[in-house]
Amino acid sequence: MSSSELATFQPSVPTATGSARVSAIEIAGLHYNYPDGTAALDGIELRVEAGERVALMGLNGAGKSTLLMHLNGILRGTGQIRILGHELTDATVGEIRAQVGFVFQNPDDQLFSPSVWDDVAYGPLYMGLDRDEIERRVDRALAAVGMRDVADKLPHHLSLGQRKRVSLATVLSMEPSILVLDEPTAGLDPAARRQLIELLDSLPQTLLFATHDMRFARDSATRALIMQAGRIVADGPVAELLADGPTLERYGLELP
Amino acid sequence: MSLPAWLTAERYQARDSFLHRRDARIKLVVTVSAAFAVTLTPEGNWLAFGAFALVVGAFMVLSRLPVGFYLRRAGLALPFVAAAVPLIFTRPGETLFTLPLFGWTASTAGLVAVASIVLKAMLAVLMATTLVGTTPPQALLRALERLRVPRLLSSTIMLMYRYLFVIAEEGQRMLRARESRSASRVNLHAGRSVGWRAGVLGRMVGTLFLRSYERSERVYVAMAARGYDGTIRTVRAEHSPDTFDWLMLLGSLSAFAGIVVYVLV
Repeated sequence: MSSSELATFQPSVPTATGSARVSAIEIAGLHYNYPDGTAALDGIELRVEAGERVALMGLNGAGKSTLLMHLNGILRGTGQIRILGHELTDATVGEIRAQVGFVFQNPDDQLFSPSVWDDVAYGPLYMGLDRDEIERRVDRALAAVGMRDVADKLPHHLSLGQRKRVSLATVLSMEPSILVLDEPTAGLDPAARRQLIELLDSLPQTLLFATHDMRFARDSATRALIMQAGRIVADGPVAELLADGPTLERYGLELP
Repeated sequence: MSLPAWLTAERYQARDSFLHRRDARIKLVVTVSAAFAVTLTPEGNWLAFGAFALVVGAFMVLSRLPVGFYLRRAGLALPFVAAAVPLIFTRPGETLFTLPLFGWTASTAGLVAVASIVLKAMLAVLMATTLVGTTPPQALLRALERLRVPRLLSSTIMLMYRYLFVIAEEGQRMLRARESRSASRVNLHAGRSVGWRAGVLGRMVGTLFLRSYERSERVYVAMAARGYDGTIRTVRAEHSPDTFDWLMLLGSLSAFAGIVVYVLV
């Protein structure tokens, strides 16, 4: 698989019909052990089509974050991961990171620069884009999350809701095709939560998010997965899965 | 999401050996005395260094800690020791060799000085490693307090140890987030320049410092809210030295004093 093929992919905006049927995410036989030897991922099989919006549910420690961190090669287990048809390897990981925008649960981890503008510009700067393109992208990303007026502020002086939205902008500026979010609504007040959900709903990217927020899953996802002990134990349309009381109960989840 | 295992000595502190069972205060006094005695020994006293090496070696055997642990810890001290290397060229004395490109002359006296400093540092570090590898931090801190080390110092060390890991993990998560957004595009040079990346890292350190500083204020308020007045109180059973402890103290101090008196007189 030559890495130059990745360049032929359109950043973002998957078409609904899609002429060439290539899955956004394909995972086969993925295993990952923590350094102490316990299995965190125990044979993950997953296919996500372009444009799908997938909620990943399950109790703490089920392996949700570990799975997500494999999608852009932050963690490397054994097994096969294909992003937009391209296998994730040492050679392709850089370009795959440009396609998979990862938003960490805690914005304080995500935001490491002294100003909001610097942080949103980091991805495009690192990629080596030119100055005009960087400024255009930063401006567009900040506008998309409604945070243009805080561009010069210190990230850690913003509210949690604002920091979450800035975190999203830091990956939107890279114009990825896939967005991966770890607990995007955790800790938000109802207004900030609603704003974030509306924002996510307005984005065209393929979406995969881990969450404990069942109402958010119901409202924003089309498909839901449940993980337990490093395996995907349930997979189906979100409406069906969330209506299936016994299944939810079996995996320790509650109806919204 | 934990620190590299080799950074912490916890799994070694949980072992058992003659030294693990010794009173933390005794071990602390012996370690500090060893460091002083080694430092007091003048350069080039190879016989004395050999004698110290025997004593330190005996402690290493008694600790039953793996050699790898000692090597990693000693390795951490090497960069600091390297600061002494220029002495080989600056110390006047009989010419040993001349560095071809620079024309600097190395002296025998300089070589003796550097070798002595490296030996002293290694002996002291190995002793300290023995102490740290056989004593849990709580016991060590309590020993500092009971030896009447100023409260400000012991509580500062305690809080540093408590939050070191929190801050290190926060730093690690920031690095992971940066890695996540360090992407490349075909036909574009990723990563800009070393200088730019160094600048990003520098600003990350600054951000981490600011956050740690703000955290310290929150921690202090939380402690003050629970009545903190600068004293760490404990109701844990206090250890008291037994016969073996006193014997070890007496034996080591006499050995160190003997060696120092021998070389100085």
